[in-house]
Amino acid sequence: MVNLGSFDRFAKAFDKHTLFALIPALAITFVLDLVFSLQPPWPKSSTYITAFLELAAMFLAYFAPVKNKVSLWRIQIALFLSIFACFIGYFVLYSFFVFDTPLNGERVVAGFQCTREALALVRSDLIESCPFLKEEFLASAQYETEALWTRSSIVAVEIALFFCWSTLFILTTFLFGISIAFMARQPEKRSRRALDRAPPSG
Amino acid sequence: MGTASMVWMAGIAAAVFAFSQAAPSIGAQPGSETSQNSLSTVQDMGHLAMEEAGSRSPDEPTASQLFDIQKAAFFAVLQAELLNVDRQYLASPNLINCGFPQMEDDAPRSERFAFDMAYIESELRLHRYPASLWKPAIRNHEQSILQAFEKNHDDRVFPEHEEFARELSRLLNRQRPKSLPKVEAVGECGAGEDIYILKSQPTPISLRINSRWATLVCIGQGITPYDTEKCRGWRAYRTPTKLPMVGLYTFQATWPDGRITRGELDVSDAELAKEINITPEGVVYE
Repeated sequence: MVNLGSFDRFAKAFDKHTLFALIPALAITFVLDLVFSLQPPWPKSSTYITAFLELAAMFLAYFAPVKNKVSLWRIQIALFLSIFACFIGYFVLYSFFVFDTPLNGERVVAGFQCTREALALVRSDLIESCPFLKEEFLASAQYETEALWTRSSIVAVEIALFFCWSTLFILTTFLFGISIAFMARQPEKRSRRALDRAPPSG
Repeated sequence: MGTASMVWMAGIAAAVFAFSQAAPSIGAQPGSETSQNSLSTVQDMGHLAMEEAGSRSPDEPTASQLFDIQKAAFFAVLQAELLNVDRQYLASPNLINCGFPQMEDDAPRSERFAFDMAYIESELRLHRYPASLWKPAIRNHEQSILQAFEKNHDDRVFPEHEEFARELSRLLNRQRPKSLPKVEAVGECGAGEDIYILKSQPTPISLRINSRWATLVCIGQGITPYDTEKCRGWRAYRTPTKLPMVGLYTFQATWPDGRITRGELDVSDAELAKEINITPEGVVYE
């Protein structure tokens, strides 16, 4: 007979504890997407993909072998700093490279390498600088970003945006998860006292 | 089963759903689905020709016969329509139709397919590609799709047209003689367009519109931007017409009294009424 005892115990504990980490992490992701529409424009369902990765991160965090409070604290600091870096990185990228189209709010992603046509316009002083073009030029090209920037640079920015976004939430879930899993493993204080008081068994 | 397990299940279900959604959208270009320029004349004339052809033969035509009739009808109209459009910008054939003229999305799939194939054929003929190069490939594709239509009656199942266009362009570019222009299959048609009605009063002798970016590129290259021969991108339009538009455009109109009006169209205000009226005095947004 297969012994499922260990899995059952794990499943129960995992059930109970991970909710505290998972629900806030997923909530932040979906609020930023559905309320503030800050999700990366590419791929279209980036938030769902991120949610899936969060579940995986939760699993990893639950099994992370953290020995004591000091090493937990170090991991927490490292995670927090990485999250902060991703957060800043994402919004810097977003404000530089994502543009809203005026009629239906569709978002387009700019690149960082100008096409030959755009470079020719810089040389003839019609536009002042590349690759950071005024939105006016994007409008004059019908928001067809590939007229202004090379396709490879646009794709690179799209991937960077998605990478920052998903890393941000994976690390957040990991931070919540690793902290809660550690707390869950700590022996309860009351039970220790109860042990002390218990009469020594023969 | 605890609540968290349910959350987990829901999460996994959501992820599966997300991937099924994401798969086609990865690499897809925005905008192409929003531009729905109904050049209804193409459809109407196609229907007329189809009815005429249908009334001539007493028997019910088979699916493939019907397809041939539809395609021929669209082809005839497209030839007239595309010749009316300035082809300077399109120095090489583009096998993907960028919204002008376009079928309506709710047209039956057999009609849309006939239209797409007629578009490819008219582009290739317009650029004088010999039929021997492309006819077999197109014929094969048509037959396989028509067979698939017969097997599957669900009208939502529609062949991936851009994929075929890309395949065909690769094939033709391998086989073409060097004297012929390179075949393209570019589906990027801009992003975030909305349908506007373009009118002009009085009816101009010619009305040409170009992207402001193309005009800038011409200035940058030292070409007179209003020279429709040398500056690429100018397209002739008949008014009134419906067009998917966004952003900035340049236009020039020649009026019956010989006057020429040149200027800019600014289509970037969503609050604006959806009609653009070009008059000898200037542009009126209504």
